[in-house]
Amino acid sequence: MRLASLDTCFLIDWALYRRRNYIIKIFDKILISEHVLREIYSGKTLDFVTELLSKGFMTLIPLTSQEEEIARRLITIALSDPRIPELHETEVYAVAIALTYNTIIVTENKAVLWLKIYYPNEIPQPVWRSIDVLLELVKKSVIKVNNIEDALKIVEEYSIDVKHSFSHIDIRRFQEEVMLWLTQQNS
Amino acid sequence: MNELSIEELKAIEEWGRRVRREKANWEFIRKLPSKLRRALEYYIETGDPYVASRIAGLKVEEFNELRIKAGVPST
Repeated sequence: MRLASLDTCFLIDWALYRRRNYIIKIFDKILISEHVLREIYSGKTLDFVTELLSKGFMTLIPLTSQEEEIARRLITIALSDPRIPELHETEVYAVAIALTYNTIIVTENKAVLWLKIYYPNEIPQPVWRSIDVLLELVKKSVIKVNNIEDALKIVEEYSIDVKHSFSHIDIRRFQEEVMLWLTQQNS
Repeated sequence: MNELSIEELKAIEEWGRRVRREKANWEFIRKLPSKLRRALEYYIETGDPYVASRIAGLKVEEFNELRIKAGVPST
């Protein structure tokens, strides 16, 4: 069973994407903490979250002393290491839930990415960003692509809907992965 | 995808700051009440929507809507 723990900022962005419902085709269950709900107010995002919750694709995870302890430990690391940006409740509890329930972490948060780089033992779980989720939609053939142009159109659609800019580094890495996948599909 | 290297993540952060500054609608931002203007300026420099939303006194989603109105991309 493939689980994902989402942080607030990713979820709010993703809810703006025209193909937002496809996320349930690559994860069996999405876990969120109540901190995520506190930051949501609009009909569009609420509709998305409520639909996922009511259909059982999303679960609101109650935080226990275990997640609190993980969160405190990660915040302490971030505070003591100037290489790590500030870590907030919106993302730290997503990481804590991921560590407890062994899920993929989905976030755009740079503090989490830096923690993953400098303290890999603290975050052994994969950390995905929106570009990774889009890539997975391609690799799982949730969105059919025949060539690299089709795949790049998916990235462009997301950028337009969410008003998100992807760096040239991410675009290059995405292209390389899709090209490799297309080659494997055709061989 | 494979994990980002230190150099790649540094480059992405620097690029993000530059693109947020370049794409921001500064005319719109300058006309905003002080709290919202400062929140957007903070976001443009750091890319951190949580603290920016607290500066603005908004929920993260409300701040995200303000970001979009101000033409600032998330990165």
